[in-house]
Amino acid sequence: MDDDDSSLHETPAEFMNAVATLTGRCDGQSVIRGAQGYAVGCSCGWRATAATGVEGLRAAVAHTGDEA
Amino acid sequence: MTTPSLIWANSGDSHVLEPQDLFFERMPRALAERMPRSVKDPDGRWETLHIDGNSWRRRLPTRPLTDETGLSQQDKAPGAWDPELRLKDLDGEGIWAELIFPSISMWTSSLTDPELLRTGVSVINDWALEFQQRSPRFVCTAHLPLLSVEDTVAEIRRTHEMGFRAAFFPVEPPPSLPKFNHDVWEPVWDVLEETGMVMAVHIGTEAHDAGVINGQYHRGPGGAVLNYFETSFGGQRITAQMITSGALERHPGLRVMVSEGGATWGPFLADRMDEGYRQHWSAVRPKLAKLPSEYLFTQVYASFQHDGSAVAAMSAMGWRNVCWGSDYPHIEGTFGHTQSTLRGLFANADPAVRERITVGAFAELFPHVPPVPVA
Repeated sequence: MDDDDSSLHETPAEFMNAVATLTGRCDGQSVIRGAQGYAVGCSCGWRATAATGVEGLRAAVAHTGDEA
Repeated sequence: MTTPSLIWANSGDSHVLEPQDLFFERMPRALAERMPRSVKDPDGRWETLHIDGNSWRRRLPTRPLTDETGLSQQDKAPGAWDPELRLKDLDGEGIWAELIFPSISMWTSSLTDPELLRTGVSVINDWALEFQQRSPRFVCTAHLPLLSVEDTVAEIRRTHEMGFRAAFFPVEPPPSLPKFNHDVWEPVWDVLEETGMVMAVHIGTEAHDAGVINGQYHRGPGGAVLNYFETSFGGQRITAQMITSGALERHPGLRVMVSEGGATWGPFLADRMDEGYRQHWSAVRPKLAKLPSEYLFTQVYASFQHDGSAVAAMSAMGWRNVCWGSDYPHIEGTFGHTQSTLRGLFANADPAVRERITVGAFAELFPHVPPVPVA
């Protein structure tokens, strides 16, 4: 089944734990809405801001060099 | 001691996997798009979770997580998606009835819009009821719109009338609300006691605020085990909050089940709370009619799956509310080796202890469930 391995079938804690224990580099990014736009972060410690969620995701993809 | 050829056991911890298109099937598109959804990159290297305007992007592992036998979750449980296949799985494993928690629905803790959550929760519960109705062995937990106490009370009443007998609680409330030891939650405890709905807590469900990584994600050597064991503590904290705040004293009919967190923590926590209660007496508020341990031993239950010391929580430490759980269909669960697990756990146990942990404690919480077959 296509969605058998969706992360949504893990608990949020399991998802975050899995990101934390993958390679220790750029394994996970978050794009979180705030009062002044979107905070973009990566598990490697990189941080950025973006005006929109779409721009934030684009920055995250560019950061990892994995263009979708 | 002799053990039956097949040990039938109720499970105090199982899961259902909701269909990924659930929200798009049952909600207006504009709302469904704000509910938790997963999108994979075409090359399969990354997955992005979108939840109400926020996004989490994850590099997908080249190999799935496996247990020590090399099996992944998908290898292990053919009935994970289908209630009829699920019953065959359960029969083959010797699992009778199940307390069933949601999966995708746990991610709604990242929602901050009470109206969206209220609508989404009703969709989840309507679907879960349809699942529950496939077998009297399924005891699904109702999901709750915890962003609003008023909405939560109303959904407990609605789902109880629908036929739910347990309500799912994360180990902590949404970040915007006070912890569960605060009086703001009193109407929720009132309605749980009034309806007899079991407060079903599942570990590892801390509010998912990715802006703050909750301070409990270990990296480096030992990370996988460190992260797993960290998930145990939330169940202990909420138990202590319910007891020390007086919530369980004020609601003697309220019963709490903490699933997947092991069992020997119960007597340990009872000791620690009693110690604080006695030795810091002058600072203790509210004063309780009994020691904290007495509320834990009577109103709190716990489920475990493999923990070698769990049987002793009852047999040696006197906690009768220990309940076995399968964690079906998750990889941490017992699917594929349930009988060997049960045989190992109860090899030297008194039959009355085995009966209580595998059957009796669960039946006490959910007396409407048909009794296990005679082995």
